[in-house]
Amino acid sequence: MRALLLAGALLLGGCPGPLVSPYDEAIDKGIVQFYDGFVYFMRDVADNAGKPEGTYEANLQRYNVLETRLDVLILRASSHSLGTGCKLEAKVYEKVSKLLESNLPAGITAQGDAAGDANGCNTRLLELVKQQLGLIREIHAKTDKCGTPPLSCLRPATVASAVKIASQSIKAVAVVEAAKRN
Amino acid sequence: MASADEIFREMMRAGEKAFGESWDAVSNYAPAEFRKMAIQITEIAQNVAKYKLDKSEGYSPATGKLLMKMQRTAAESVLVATTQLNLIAVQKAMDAMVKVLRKTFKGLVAKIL
Repeated sequence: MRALLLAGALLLGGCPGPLVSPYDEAIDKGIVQFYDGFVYFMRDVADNAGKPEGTYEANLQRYNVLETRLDVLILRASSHSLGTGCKLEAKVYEKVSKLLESNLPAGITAQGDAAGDANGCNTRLLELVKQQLGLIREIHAKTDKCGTPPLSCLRPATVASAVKIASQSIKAVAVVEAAKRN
Repeated sequence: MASADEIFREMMRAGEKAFGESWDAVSNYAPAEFRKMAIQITEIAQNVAKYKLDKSEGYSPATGKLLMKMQRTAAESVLVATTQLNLIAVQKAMDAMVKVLRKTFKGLVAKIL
């Protein structure tokens, strides 16, 4: 009984703090709003591929608006973090790679900062969404061309792929917040 | 007062229940997302192949390369989210156990702490 009381006392008072950052309604709602704006923008830009209004230059401001929305969410998430980055557990990587066996995409390794804190992972998830947006911006500005003479654009096929891929990163943020909420 | 065994079993039941519900979310989420990744990687290769045959179809290898980079980033998102879902599951299990302890010992635990 004494051991149980001691274990209870440790469980109640001995833990260094919560394992994850608390549920944040602003991030939960903010990421949904970002997704709405992002998908609408992508569909619009694909419809205008090859037209002057579909060029990167014509849409620069819309990228800036979306990026600013993400910056606000990153700033909010980082307020819970110690600023030491996200620690990705090796066990999770092990479990996922075992599950997928040879289907694991190349280049995926157990990552993360050994000194990182769990709260830093929320910030990291949002930063990854921002990276995705940056890569779409690069495709739009540099690699996709439409029409004659060639104009910068996002081809409909590119948009289809990019939206599916970016949705995975956006969903990752939403799934984690939803799990905290429930 | 309940015996140590009874309390222990109740704690375990509470923790297991909370962990079990959360673990369902993890085990449904990660494999589904990695399946999507496999499909998307194939789609990228197909679109680059289409472009090579007809420049008005699919997208260029340069675009394909950047989309692959996006896919690697998405894979990191899924791994980080899975870690977080695991931690949320552990947190919920701990909270459920603490609730049982608080209910069982009431003032006694408060005195210790």
